Amino acid sequence: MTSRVGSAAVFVTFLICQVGSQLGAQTVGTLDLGTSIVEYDGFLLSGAAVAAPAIHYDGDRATAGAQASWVIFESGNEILQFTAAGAWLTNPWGRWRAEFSGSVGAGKYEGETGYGHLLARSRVHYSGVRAGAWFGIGTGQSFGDFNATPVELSFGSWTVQDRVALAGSITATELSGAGYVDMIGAARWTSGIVQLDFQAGLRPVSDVGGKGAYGEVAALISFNNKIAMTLSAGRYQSDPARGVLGAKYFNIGVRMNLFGTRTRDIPTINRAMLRAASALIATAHVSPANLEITGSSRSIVLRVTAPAASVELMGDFTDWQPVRMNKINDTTWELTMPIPSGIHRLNIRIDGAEWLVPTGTRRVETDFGAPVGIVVIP
Amino acid sequence: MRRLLGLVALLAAMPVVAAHAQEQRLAGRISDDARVEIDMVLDSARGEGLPVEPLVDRALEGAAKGAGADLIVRAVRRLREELRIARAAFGDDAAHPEVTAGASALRAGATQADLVRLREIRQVGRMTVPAAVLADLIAAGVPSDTAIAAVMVLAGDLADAQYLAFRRNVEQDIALGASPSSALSVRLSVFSAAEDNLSPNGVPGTASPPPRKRKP
Repeated sequence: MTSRVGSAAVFVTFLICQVGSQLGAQTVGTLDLGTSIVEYDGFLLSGAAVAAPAIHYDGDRATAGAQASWVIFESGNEILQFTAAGAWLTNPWGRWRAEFSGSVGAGKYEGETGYGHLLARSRVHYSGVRAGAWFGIGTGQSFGDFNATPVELSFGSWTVQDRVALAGSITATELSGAGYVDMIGAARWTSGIVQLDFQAGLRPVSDVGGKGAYGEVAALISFNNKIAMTLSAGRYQSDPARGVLGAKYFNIGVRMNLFGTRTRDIPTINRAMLRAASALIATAHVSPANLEITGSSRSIVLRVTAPAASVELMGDFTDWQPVRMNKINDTTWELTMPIPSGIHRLNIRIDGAEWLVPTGTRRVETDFGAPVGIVVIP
Repeated sequence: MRRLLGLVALLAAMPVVAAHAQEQRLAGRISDDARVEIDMVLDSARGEGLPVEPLVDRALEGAAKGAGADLIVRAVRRLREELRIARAAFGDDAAHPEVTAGASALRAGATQADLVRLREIRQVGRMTVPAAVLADLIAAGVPSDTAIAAVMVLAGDLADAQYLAFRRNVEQDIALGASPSSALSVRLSVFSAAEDNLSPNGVPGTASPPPRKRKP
């Protein structure tokens, strides 16, 4: 999968560069590269490398953006995801304005079912000189393991002082009879080359798990108009409507401007992680063959699962002579033979290629350079 | 004259003894020079009551992997040393599979003292599976001290089948992306929880299902 996902990520980056270079100065294209330590809810801590190209257009009455991310975890598993969002504002009626926005996203983790969302939202804004508020409603469709039609109701307010912007919101989400409420406060502080974003949240009510407090802090340090360093850390909650699994994370990376001159106002790289995992994740086999052993020592059944034209096995119980396994079907091969109880060493060969260690055995290095698989017959 | 006849008889018998000591399975698979040296190692192992089969297997494995004669001889000698240490740790009455498993644990990183301690704790039951599990855990990346401590904890209570299930679960967790230490820790806690829920006849009761945490 690596080459396919990698090619897709490179293609998306290329596409963003091509599209963006045709647009005006209001369009900014960036490429985030970084490393993260992330602990998704229900999973163990893992390192990850992230590449996330993004494009963002910011006009007087409309904004649009798209972002892709390619995440490689230390296990070798990968996620490719894509989101696009746009918003359009009406002409103001006094201090009032309406906003219509939508977002679409899709993601795929290894061999699992993909997930995605298609959401539309409308908001009514009231804007003062240094403060404002909004009320919004949204709905759409979530796809994947959690197919549902979410309905979001939100209320928020904001204020801007000299170098600090503060915002707070309450969002209630209902989907398929379950629901959750998020209360979020956010602040941005800007000084010179440094921009700091803080977000703190509380999910007091939830039928979908992930109750409690959470928060994130992100720093963007711009060295010039072309390159900046990103640092972010914290915890965010699950968002079932968008296929987001809650996680704790720390990220450090670099943001490069592909075109345009701004590096700010685009979500920092951690957002690439937000839509990065589904709850069910498959295991990628390291070896192309898996060995199962059943039976007692008088009649041990060795069963290899591997797509192959031929499978051979050799081990101490065959005096290290290759023995051809019997084909059960296109991917299953068996051999039944007596093997005395104790520790045994073996190798598998598929289609006459090199001898390998199948999964289901303990891999050990040997004095002879080629590793073997260890099995224990009780 | 009688002494001379005895000497002649002894000389006549020697080739027969030598031929008898040759391991026939090595014929045609290992060079003659290496075979002589390996046969000497095998003879010494037999004389000490060590298992010979693993030594022959190691030589055959080397031949199958295309290793040079010197490398094969060195590997067989090294294994004999490990078998000696394991046998010393487990005692003269240890069965050959136990000694072989002990040697495997030594190769993985355990020490003779670890094996002695394992023997002391596991007073009932064979050492084959515990020693194999110890070797597996260390080979899987669990720090040797942690692996030894875990096997010690389990050594007094677990039947072989339970040991193998424990090892399999740890390996599955590692294969699914858990760090070796985390996988071991989680499985030990599950084992402890299951122990707490054992009914009087030893049948697991309402123990929680094992957690399935893994790396993404």
